[in-house]
Amino acid sequence: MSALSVRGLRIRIGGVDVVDGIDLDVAAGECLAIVGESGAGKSLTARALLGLTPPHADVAAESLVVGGVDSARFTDAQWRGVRGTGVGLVSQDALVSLDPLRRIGREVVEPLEIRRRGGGSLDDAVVALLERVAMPEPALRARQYPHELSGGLRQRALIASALAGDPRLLVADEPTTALDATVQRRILSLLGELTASGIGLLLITHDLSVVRSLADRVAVMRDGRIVETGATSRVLDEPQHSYTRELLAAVPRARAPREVMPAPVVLEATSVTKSYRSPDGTRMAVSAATISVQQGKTLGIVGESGSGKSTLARLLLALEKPDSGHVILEGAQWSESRESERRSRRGAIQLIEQDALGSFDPRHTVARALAESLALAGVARASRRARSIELLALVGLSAEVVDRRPRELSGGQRQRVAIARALARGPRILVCDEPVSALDVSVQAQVLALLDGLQRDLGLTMVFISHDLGVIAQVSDEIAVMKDGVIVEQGTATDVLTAPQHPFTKELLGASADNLF
Amino acid sequence: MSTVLSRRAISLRRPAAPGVILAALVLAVLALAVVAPGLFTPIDPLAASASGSLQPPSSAHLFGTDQSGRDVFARVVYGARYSLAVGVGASAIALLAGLIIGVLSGLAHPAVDSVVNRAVTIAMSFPEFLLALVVIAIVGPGQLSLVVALSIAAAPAYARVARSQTFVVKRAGYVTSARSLGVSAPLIVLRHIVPNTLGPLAVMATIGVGTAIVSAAGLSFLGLGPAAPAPEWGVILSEGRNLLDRAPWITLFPGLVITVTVVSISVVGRYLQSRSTR
Repeated sequence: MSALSVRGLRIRIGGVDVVDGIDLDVAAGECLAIVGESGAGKSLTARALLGLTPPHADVAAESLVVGGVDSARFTDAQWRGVRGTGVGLVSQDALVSLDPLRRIGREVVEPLEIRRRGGGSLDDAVVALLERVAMPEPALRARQYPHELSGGLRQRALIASALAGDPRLLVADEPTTALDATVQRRILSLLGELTASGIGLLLITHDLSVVRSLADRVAVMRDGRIVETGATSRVLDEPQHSYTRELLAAVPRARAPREVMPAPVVLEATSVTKSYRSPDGTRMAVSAATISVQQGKTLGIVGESGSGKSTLARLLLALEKPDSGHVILEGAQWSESRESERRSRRGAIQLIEQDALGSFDPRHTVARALAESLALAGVARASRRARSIELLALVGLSAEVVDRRPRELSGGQRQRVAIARALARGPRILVCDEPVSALDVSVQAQVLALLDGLQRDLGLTMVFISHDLGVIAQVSDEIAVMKDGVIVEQGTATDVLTAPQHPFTKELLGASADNLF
Repeated sequence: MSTVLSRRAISLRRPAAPGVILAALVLAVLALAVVAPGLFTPIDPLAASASGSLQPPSSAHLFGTDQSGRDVFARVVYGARYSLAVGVGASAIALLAGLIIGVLSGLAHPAVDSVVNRAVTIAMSFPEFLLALVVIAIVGPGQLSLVVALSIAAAPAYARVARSQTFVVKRAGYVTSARSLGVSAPLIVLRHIVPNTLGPLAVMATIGVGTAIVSAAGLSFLGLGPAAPAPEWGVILSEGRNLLDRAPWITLFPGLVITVTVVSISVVGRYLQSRSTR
């Protein structure tokens, strides 16, 4: 008995077919993954299966059978009868999906309270549901509020809530995207157990490693159409459509180790420590971290959220002063200098951030942002515009971008402009803090290729920070692994990736090993 | 992404509501009255005539005449200059003072910021009108005192908003970027922090002008603004208050003009506010 059967689903918004006639089938106990980049129409499709499309969207389908119920012509009231019992939704951000003022237990049984069937007490039902999603200490968790739970546990609570009405189909929209790699793996194995128990799972994701570990079949979506569909192994190993091949090629892979020639150390931090005061005492953000980067090489720093990677980046840039320890830049004292002396040397080391849009003054055009950097590099006013256009060409952007504002550009273009601005200052070292994490996978691959080319052509030294071991493996000569403010392991990329010593590194590698080699 | 961008572009191009256009027209007419009151009436607002006193509105005297036979319409037209000068002047000074205090306090050492912030809180705990009265009691009545008093009364609110906006802006990515490029601290403040703090204050000020005009009229009515013969709107109201039963037009028309002015300023101000928080 099929959990979902859709023929010719069409969603029209403002006269445009955002989803353009797609067919989907999910059998009981099967996982179908829809993959694609942002704007492909994945999430809108997921919403349509619960009748939750926005009011201005016009949904039509030849047939729409959800959880065994034909719902093609459903009214809102009829949809309410299906949601929870026929189909459950697990969304990406568990923190906003759970009501902050209600305890987990109440949230989880809400679907049961609405229907009130069966005799057993709701408390037992809560504990049973939380046990089903392998929530540790279920009785305790049921009494806690969402903010008291970690991201992974919140996601479990959300899944428990989706399961409360015993649906035949679970729609999971990017269920693990906001989670760290190790937590992600645990949630994926939970979803795997649920499908094994007979629930149909429709998984929406942009992450091909998630697809490989969980899905039986995969549908590749682009611009509202399914361009390729088939068994997971067939689609991922023998892709037929050019777009599928493009997506697969964009997945970061460990690169062949480059010839290791000793080069002078240009940036080094010696047991730098930084703590912040917080309501529950002082929190150690970075604890006695020691790193060194050789000229022309890339040091990758990998770790999960809150591990202190970004604080370490700010210490390397001397945007923060370490509590103890010091940073040496190009052989001269850096963290201990006065800011007025540092300013003239700042050109040597530049920063690329994750949030490219936020890194530009919203009132300034690209030309003005680049001019600020060029002025500091000593470029005369008259030649700044010409030089800006040269720099934009260097990062693969056309001259017309120069008079636009960053918010009028795409995410990839903005990151290119941010790189151009850093280059305008004539740096020898680039510190890249999650530079591609906000980008779609194909754009990510382009930006990584750009950084790689620039490093080769300009002889740049790089410190590359990411939570994504795949990206780190692709760009790094050396890798440092951070956990809870401490560098738990560091060494050459090959050593860390093939012979990890620390248990945490092994766990990280296990979480993303499928795609690395 | 592309759909979001295009939808935003559409909302930007959406024409303003008719009420906003009407309010903007009213303000344009008022501005003209400030610059060239002679265009509206050939009559001298101070010219008295004993024979023509307390005449009801007619084609010769649109708003009638007062007890000294002065033309009320001419007095209202020439009075726009006083009221708008006080309103705009007081708001501009309050904005500037609030901006400087707020930004410096937001960037200062927490101890300094805490002291300044307490002072602002104390100032804000008094009603603006009361604060203005206290200032006039100290510096004495007059047109200039009115501007000074109203700007001192309004400045704390601007300082409060400027401070909180500074807290947001100083942590923005573009400030970090400027720092790591090596831009000097004073330049970061002038180039990035002040302009990005100014937006919300400017919107506040457009609405503040209306408040200041009402307060100015109120203070003038109490005899604390420009001296009596001057055609200030509050002064005209004050002069007509004993004749409400015999000659209501003396107070009715200036009162209406004040109301229409303040409503128009609020409507335009709120329209600008909705545009800036898109």
